[in-house]
Amino acid sequence: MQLPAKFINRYQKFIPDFDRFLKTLDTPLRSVIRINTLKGEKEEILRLLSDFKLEPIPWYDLAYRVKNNIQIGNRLEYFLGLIYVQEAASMIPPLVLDPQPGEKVLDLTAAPGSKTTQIASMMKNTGLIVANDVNRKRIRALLTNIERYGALNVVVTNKRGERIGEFLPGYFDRVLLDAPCSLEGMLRKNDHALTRWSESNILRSSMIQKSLLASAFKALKPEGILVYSTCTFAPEENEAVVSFLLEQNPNASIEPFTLPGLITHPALTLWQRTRFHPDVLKTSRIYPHDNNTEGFFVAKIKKAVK
Amino acid sequence: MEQFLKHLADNFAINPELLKDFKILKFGDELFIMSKEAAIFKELKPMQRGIRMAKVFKHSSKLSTSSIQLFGKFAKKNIIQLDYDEALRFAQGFELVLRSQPSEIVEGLVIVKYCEFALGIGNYKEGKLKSRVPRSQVLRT
Repeated sequence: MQLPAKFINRYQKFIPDFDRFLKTLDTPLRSVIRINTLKGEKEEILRLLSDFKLEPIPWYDLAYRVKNNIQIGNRLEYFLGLIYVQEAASMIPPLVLDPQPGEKVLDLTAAPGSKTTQIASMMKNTGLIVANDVNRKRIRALLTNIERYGALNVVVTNKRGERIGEFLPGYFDRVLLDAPCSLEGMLRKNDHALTRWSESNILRSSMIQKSLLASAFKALKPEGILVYSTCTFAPEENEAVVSFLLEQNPNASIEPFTLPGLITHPALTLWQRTRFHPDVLKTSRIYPHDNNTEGFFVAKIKKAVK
Repeated sequence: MEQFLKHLADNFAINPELLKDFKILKFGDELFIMSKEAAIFKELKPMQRGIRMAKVFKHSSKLSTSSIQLFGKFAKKNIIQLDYDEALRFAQGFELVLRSQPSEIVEGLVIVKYCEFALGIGNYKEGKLKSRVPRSQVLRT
């Protein structure tokens, strides 16, 4: 993969074991499936997958890497909505969010719905998930997935995410903001992101992410949990965004998290002469070469009672 | 709504009590099934709540594949069980000539299953089973 020199210059400064990181980017990712428990019991579904060579994903007992070549989209199990093809790292934000049955959850940028349907499954189809997306075209994919995977607790809305906090302040028990980003972490799956890669794009994304995160935090109940995630390495879109929220809201704090078998790295405290809020250190960076996944950034944010 | 639930009970022996944890609401000519909390959420002008259950006509209704895949497992009559290859062809939208005549089946709409999983609705007549999986949902070959 031909990476821009600027990309390499930026990231060799802080991504550990950088040569192995670069090598991993050139290794294609195998498909990972998530068992959809809204449609059946795990064991029943696994029985149907006897010709799949499956390797368990350590941090989620419903996720498996498919080690043999199978056209999953042509399979009956896919038609039945029993399995969802979803990258293993993309399952992490809902796991950190840890939604409980009966709660009110907001998925602020929900399309195409992999995390929404995962959350629905974790909530056992109870309570409420507001799955919002600003892009009508992408909402079509979201609706298809909600139907296919049988998510009955989802309400789909089409609003600008930046306004939702204003419309529904303090409404949700949990909020997921898997923010639109520069997609650097997805290069193993699709190197399209490189064609649009530039530092100015990163800064533009960062501005949008800050206003989305402010809205997400406003929509959260006191004592509620907000998970902010991106699939990019850019500190401007990760630490800087979370630091901005912490500086603006003294009632926001970061909660560290761990998941079984998942290797994470603490976030940066300093980037290009900008020092971040010290709490940012408790957020997590997930690198492709540590877990054989895409790259992710995840922050678990708690809102205190004022 | 009661008429629709009666249709499920009469045709497939699906006990309406099994759906009591959910709410069925009508929007236009379609019925949607959703969690009770989703049913009362009115803010932000929702585009859709829950999943499509059926399209309602004046004297009949057409169940959606998505809802049958969720609730078809509760059916007790008018069920046709397929093997893997037949199920695959049904999911691909084909008409099947069944190798054996199913017993205790009333000709007309049936719930089609593979193992314990409901695939969708089919139309059964004289040994032939026509898939009613909509073109937008059929499994690509």
